Order: sequence, then C-alpha cells, then structure tokens
Amino acid sequence: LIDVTSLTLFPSNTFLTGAVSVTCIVLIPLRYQTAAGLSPLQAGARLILFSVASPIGAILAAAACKKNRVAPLYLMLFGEILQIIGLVLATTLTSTNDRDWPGLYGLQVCIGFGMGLVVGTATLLTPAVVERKDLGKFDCLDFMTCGAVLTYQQRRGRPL
Amino acid sequence: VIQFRFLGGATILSIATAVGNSWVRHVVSDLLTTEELQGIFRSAATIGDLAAETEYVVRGHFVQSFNLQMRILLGVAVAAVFSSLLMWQKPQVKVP
Repeated sequence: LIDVTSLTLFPSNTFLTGAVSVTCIVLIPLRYQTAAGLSPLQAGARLILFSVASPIGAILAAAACKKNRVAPLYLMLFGEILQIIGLVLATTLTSTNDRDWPGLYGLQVCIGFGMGLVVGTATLLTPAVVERKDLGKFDCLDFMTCGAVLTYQQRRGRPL
Repeated sequence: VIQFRFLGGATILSIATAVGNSWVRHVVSDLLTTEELQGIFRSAATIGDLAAETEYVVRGHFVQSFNLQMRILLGVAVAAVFSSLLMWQKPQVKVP
C-alpha cells in the first residue's frame, strides 16, 4: 500500500534537490569566468569533475538499493548531508583573495557525489510513490508539456 | 515528477542569480562607469579589459557574491533534508 504522505511530499523533495543541482551546474562555471577570469570553454572543462561525480553517485545509489539492501531514504539523507558539507565549506573557507581557489575541485566532487545519490534514489523511488496505473499519465503529461512548449516556440519563429 | 527537478532548478537559480548580481552591481557601482558596469554583466570577458587594480577588486567582489549564492543554496539543501525526513515511515519505502 502507498502512503499518502510520501506521495504528496515526493515532488517537493525532487523540487529542492533539483534546485541544488541545476544551480550548481550554472553557477560554478560562472564563478570560474568572473572570479578566475577563464574563458567559457576552460570554465566548462573544470566542471567535468562535477559532472563525473554525479553519475558515479547515481550508479552507487542504484547498486546499493538493489535487493533491498539499504533503504533509499537513508541514501537520500546521506547524499543531502554531503551536499550540505560541501556548501558549508564553499561558503566559509573562501575569502576575497581566493580568486582561483583549488579547493573548489574537492567541493565539486563532494556536492556532485551527494547530488548523484539523491537524484539516483529519487528516480528509483518514483515507481514506489506513484501508483502503477498513474505512471502512464505522467509520461503523457510530459509529452504534452514538451509539445506545447515546442509549438509555442515555433509559432514565435524561434529555432530551439 | 522529473519535471519538478527542473522547475526547482529554474526557480532557485533565478533567485540566486538575482540576489548575486544585484549585490555585485550595488558594491561595484562606485568603482566603475555605467558603460563598464553594463559590459561586465553582458560578458564576463570584459572584466579583463579593466585597469589591473580595479579588476582585482571586482573579481574579489564576484567571489563574495558566489559565496552569497552558495549560502542561499545551503538553505535549500537544509530544507531538502527536512523534506526527506517527512517521508520517513516505519517500514521504509522500498524500490519495487
């Protein structure tokens, strides 16, 4: 049986974790560009560490959840705590003089790995909190949203 | 459900960028001319064209604005922990 609370809370949870991931992906290269004065390509190359760490986290999360070895919620909390540690260190350790701070690499791995754990478990939990008969509706809704956006953009004559 | 992730990303990203940029604009406005200020926000590469001393100070301010944005994210991450804890139930949810 599916608990009503988890069904209603799950979207708010994904909302908040997605907020951390997407904002990091955009703001970390921006920091390299503004503070360290790198070109956009170099800044993007330095984000590779972050984008490698997150799938590793997701893979490990999926492996650990297999056959009910670990409850997904524990992994999710662990990943969120890793994110918090990374963000606390990022805010406290840097001063105005650390324009090209090498420690940011370590924090990228920390935040990225935590993010991977959370996003991986959130994806794995989706069938658990949504009833099987509703799964198709979600897909349908996604397609409808994408279709609506595409048509709108094309009507305005803007290539994507 | 996946769409919620990007909805959250877009919301919090816009909040963080708005706060960070307006903070930098406020602090830096005494140092630069209006044109230089507009140039900085149009392209980060124009920071390199400034005078060496001003550039150093401006980059320092950008580090601080990044820290401010990370502090906002920290608040979001803490909220995410509480949001996860609310999903706690006696037999934990399992992957089907």
